[in-house]
Amino acid sequence: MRDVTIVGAGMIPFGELFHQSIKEMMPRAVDAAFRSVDKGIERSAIEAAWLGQLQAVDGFPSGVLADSCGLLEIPVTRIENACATGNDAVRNAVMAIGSGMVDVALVVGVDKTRETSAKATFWDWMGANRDQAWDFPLALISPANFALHVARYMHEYGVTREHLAMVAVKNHHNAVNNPYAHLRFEVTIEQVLNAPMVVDPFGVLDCTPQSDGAAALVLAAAAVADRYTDHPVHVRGVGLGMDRVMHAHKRDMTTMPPTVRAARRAYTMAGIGPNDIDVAEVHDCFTGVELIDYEDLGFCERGHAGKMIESGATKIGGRLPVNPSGGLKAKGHPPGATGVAQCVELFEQLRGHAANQVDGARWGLAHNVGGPTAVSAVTILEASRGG
Amino acid sequence: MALQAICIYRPCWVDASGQRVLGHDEDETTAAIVALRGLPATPRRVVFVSQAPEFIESDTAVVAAAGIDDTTVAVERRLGGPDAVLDAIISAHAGTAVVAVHADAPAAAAAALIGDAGAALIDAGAVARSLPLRMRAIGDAEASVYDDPRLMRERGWRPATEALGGDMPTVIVGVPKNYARSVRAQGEDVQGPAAAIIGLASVIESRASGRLIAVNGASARAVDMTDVTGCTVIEIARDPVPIGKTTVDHSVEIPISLAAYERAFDAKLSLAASVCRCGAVEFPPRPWCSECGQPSGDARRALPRQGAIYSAVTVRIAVPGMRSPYSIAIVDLDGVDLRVMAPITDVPAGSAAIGDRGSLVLRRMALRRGVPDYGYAFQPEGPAP
Repeated sequence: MRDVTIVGAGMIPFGELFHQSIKEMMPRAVDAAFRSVDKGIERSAIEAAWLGQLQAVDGFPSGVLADSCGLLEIPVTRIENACATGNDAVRNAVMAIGSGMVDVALVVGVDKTRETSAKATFWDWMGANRDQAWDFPLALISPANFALHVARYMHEYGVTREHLAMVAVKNHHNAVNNPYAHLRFEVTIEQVLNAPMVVDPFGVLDCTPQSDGAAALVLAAAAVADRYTDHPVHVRGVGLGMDRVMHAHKRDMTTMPPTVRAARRAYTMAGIGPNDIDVAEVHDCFTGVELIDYEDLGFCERGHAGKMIESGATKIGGRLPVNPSGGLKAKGHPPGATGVAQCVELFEQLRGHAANQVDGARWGLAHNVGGPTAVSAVTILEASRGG
Repeated sequence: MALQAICIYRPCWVDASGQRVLGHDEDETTAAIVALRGLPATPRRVVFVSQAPEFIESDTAVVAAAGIDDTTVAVERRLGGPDAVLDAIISAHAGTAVVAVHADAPAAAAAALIGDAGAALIDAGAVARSLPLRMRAIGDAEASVYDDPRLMRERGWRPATEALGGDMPTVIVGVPKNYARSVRAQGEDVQGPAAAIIGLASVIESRASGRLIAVNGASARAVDMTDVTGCTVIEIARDPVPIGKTTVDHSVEIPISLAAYERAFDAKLSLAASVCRCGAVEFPPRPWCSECGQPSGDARRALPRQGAIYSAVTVRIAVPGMRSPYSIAIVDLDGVDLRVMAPITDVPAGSAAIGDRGSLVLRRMALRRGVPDYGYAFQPEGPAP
């Protein structure tokens, strides 16, 4: 397979973007990505596009991208893979460039979670994620979906709500500096612990906000990357992993096997291991999920995630900073855009220009896990040597 | 014909006045199933008596049959009051259970099993007169009520109970308790058809011969019991739990696919798992075995109902159509390598923890666009006595 690089990356600030339709959000994100290309890029250079979008709004998704961004002459394909949508869109574009089919491709991620009423969201989401006859009527809403894992994890490993709160404190702190983040304010352990409960053990400050947002990447074959930049970021590994869709069928709920499977594929492809990662953007839709991610991604041993967050290892300046952008927790979580935006953050980190720069970062990892905790996508990026 | 056993189920929930009430996931059907399952033997035929006209249109019979683990049992539904229950009992063959539910406070379900041996019931006559103070014409949503309780008392209950009165100690059901007392008889708090079976249990528990008069408006039927020793009375009543005040936002209806409902119904209500040739047990049943990767065949087995909580969560925020807070568990079933996901029932939300033991009970999971969606909930064991 040919080497694939990222030569441009951009996004719009995440938030409740009631005033923008996706027809405005996507062109702005694409424009931001184009403007980040060091030597410039013409729209005509794009040979194919992949759109990551979980929920269709304003009509047929691929067509809306082609139409709103003036890409009528190229093929556009929509990817939908629950919360792993964004990184899976990246993976599909990598396959197309890697195969030699195209040299330059665009990846766009977008979602508008605030386009339906707050009340309708619950059953819409469960309808997309549950068996109609069996699990659907139990109303296992999204936070409960993850809380079943985290409750068991806390039970087996003696992890407390304070450990969960440390994730929120860290990621909110990181978001303050990030102009693209949805929740740019600090929180304290006490505030997190005393916030109204959503689903035990998650209070409202343990949960991601519902965000609208868009992000875009320009990918190019390594062989042509120098047309666009002297400092491309290399896509070294991509992986997608699945698991059983019903919670009763998940053998060990202290782990999310899709993450383990996706990470194994991505590490193998990149030829590195978890100890090589310098900075990671991981799926922290609920605080406790970030702790399970540490273990599933191999950042620490089983049962040691509580100690890892306690030690400060995942703060900026720690051994392995996690979610320097603020993560889903504070940057926000428009599912289709989330994974693409993680790559935007890593693009900046690996080129040394991030808002919360991790010094000398060479290897970056992006990770999503979603749906009924049944799919995960991992992307591993590497900085250009000497640059 | 003899009365072999009676099972009375009183739900654990109590209202502000301390009266037992059905849980929010219970209805006449699920309560009847608890009483039927409490009988010492599975009946071959069930007569389900109710005063709710909509019950004739519902799928009560099918749900009840699945709920007592025997989809071949014949379930006959009858509209009627306490007199109809007594009539059903004295005309039944051995192996029949008669069941009825009082859904309002104080709520109870009562089932009577007729056997070859037990306490003999002797027909002590009936009165059939017309005094329709409360009538619902077919097609009408609301009953029309002729508001004159003294007319009912003087021209309904009094002539009926005097005509059927005798020398034996008497229990009168189907009338207010204070009316029964005023004619020097014992009354019951529970009203409606279930009161007839509860009245029989009262006669049995008095350990002496007695008469039961079951009144329904101006009509009534009476039976005598002279030897009450042969009948067992089983009471199912957990420690009372305050039901509290909760509200439901009905502005969003829970959708339903009746196609999906129908496909899942048999396995869901019978807790029927597929059993592959390789031995793997899977629930819901699947056509392709997840262990050996081969077609798993048509073999089925019923799952064990006992187990322990593997993980549990409590939803605290308001979810449209749901009664918050509510708890959901993943349950490790005993003796089989299998878990099920089930709502937690019969305890306050949030009170059950990982490791707690309990059993699966048939409940109404949800009303989805008006359709009752039945399934199994996890009932934690009560505190050790």
